[in-house]
Amino acid sequence: MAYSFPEEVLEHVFSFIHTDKDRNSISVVCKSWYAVERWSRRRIFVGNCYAVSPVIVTRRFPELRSVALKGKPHFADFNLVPEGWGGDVFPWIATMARAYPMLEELRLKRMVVTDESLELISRSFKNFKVLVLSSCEGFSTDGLAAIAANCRNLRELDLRESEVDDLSGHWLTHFPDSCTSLVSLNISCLGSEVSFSALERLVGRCPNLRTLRLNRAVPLERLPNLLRRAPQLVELGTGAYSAEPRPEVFSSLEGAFGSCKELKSLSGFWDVVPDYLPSIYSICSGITSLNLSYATIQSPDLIKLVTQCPNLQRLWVLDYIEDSGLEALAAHCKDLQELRVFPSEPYGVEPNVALTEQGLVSVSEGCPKLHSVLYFCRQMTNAALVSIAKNRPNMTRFRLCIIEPQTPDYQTMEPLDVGFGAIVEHCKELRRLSLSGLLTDRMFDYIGTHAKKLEMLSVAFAGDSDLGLHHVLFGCESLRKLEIRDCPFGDKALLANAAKLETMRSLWMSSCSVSYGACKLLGQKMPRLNVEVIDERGPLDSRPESCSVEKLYIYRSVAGPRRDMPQFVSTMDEDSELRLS
Amino acid sequence: MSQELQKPSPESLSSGLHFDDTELTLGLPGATKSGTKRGFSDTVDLNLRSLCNADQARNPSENDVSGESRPPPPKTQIVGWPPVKASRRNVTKISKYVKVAVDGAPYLRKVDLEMYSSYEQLLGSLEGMFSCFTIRNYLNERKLMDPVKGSDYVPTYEDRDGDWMLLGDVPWKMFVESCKRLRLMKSSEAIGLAQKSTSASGSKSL
Repeated sequence: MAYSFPEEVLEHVFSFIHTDKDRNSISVVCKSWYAVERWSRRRIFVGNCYAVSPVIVTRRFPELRSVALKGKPHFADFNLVPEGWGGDVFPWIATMARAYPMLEELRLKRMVVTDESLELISRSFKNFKVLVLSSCEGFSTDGLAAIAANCRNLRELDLRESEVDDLSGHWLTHFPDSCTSLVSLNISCLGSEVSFSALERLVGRCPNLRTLRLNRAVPLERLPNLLRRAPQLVELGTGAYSAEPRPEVFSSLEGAFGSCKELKSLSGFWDVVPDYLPSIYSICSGITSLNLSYATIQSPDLIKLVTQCPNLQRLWVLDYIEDSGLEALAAHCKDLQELRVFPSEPYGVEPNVALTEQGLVSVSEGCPKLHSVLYFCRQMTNAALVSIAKNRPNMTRFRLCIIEPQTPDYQTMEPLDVGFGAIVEHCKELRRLSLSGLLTDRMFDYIGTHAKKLEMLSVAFAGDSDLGLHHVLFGCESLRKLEIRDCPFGDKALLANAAKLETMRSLWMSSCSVSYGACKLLGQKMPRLNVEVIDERGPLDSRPESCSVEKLYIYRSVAGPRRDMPQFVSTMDEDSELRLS
Repeated sequence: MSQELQKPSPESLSSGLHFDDTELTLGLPGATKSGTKRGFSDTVDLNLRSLCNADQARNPSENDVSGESRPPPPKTQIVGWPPVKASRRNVTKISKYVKVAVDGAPYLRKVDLEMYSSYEQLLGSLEGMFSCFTIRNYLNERKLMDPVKGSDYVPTYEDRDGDWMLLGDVPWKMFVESCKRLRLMKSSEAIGLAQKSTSASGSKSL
């Protein structure tokens, strides 16, 4: 005889299970658990919007309140995905408008969001609370006006790094006087001036506002008034941090910052004038996150600032910090967990700053909690990488970009295989890795052998042959996302590891040597993969089978081939016709 | 270090289409890819060069078709490398990226208008990007020619008010300020535009 808990009991137990992973696990235990789980799931994350269709989602989960979607592949950030590729959120909004009238949260990344979509969101969901548009595009400030005007309970509006058609700053005035619910407002990506008085009134009437990220157009002189209206702020992004040096402006700023006892995170600082930096010194001891990646100040000023932040956990900064600044950071900021160093002159030929591999080694030595690194530099050695690996076996994210492709160890002139090999060997918890410099197939052998927890790998201008790709596909058990550009990888490794691709979210390969014939074969043999060829050179069907494709994007999907492909994208599905121009 | 990362495949060479030519390059106008000089550069309008006063950006090897006896050209930009997002590409100066569309081409490109200081520099760079064209100034009765298709193209832009204008009517800085996007329009479509512009340009000074 089989007994089972009543549904109400199961539902109550499931209400304690929150993470996607756990929810997915319990849903496959048995049919009754599947049924209870699907009715009780409130939040969903779809890592690839084309892996599933909106209809499939709404059919399975009738009561969602929070949806997160990602669209374009990561390399879209670097202009590698042509305009018009896809990722339009409208079909999702239209379906959810009917299925989820009580939807509260929408988080989108790298998707195309039109004003029409924003207007539909603002009209369809009466209890809409959170809109996060991360690296999205396709909308204007008119769409934002609709959100401001119609979402009566809006808590979060976060436009981080989106590309907005900035018609005017007037949209902000569409927040009604009755709107007092804002908790987070991030408009840092907008170019035009918003109405300052409207902004001040909005900030003043939202007592729960904890995050305010202003745009560059908010002048420094306006900052004190805003801060005085929101002393409870925890995260602040300033506008341009420059003005004529005037003592009354300085003391006003200093005083305003002094009254913000809860501030933990600072960002913004465009055009920062060093004379004004001391205005934030009084709150530095509480700062845990500092984003100075737009601050074009030199090493001495940076050192003065970071050495006042003993509780710093996250630092984003330009390479103006130089090795000396990173040494100071290592000495003073023992709680540092994440470091990102961006290039001030990414297209310069010669180094413009004294930032080398030594800076990163210093931080790896001095900061025991450092586990997440993004570092742009112009030289590296195997010895440095081995040091870093041995110093920081707790590394989880390691992204190194040596600016000139295929740069060897500058002391030995050897490939950096041994150095990166040490990283994957010592850092057993490594989940994300980006490679650069001169690398041979041997490096990929190390990765396949050691990087068992690696989930995302980015490769550029590396490797010698298909063996390199094979090592990765064969050995990296946890691999979910693989993105490759300009590597001599062809058909063999791809076809030999076709089954592996179904265990991953996606594979991107551009400027490699995968043939059109292999793509067709893969598409035919693997019906649960969408094999998409992106080729802007014209119609594919006139090409010989051996011709290399420009770009290839392969992802698993239960929704079949997508139907919104532009002219330059062709699916290698067995049933579909190839695009004609 | 050679920038010759991918040799054109035999198929692409024999078909007569130089696929590498349509690859976007970032960089100052005049920077070229080594070894992949376009064959038709013989026909590049030399008058255009004489209009360029500040020619420092121009690479001397631009005029060398064969590229054999010259010193190696300066480093060229690879698309999407180094991997920095658009907002981080020009931290030290302001940038203004606008989309560039070409009638009949399936793809769009983006240019940073702040990288140029004159119409000639911009047009020269567009010429490099959409390399099947020779770009000339419409107002002086010369036109963008596509030698393959034999059709004319005219550089136009959409301004803040949503109107489509011909390039060259307003001072350069005013253009950068008001330009929202660029379009290389087929000249048959641009005729109405020309008439509007000619009557308007009488009241504007260059």
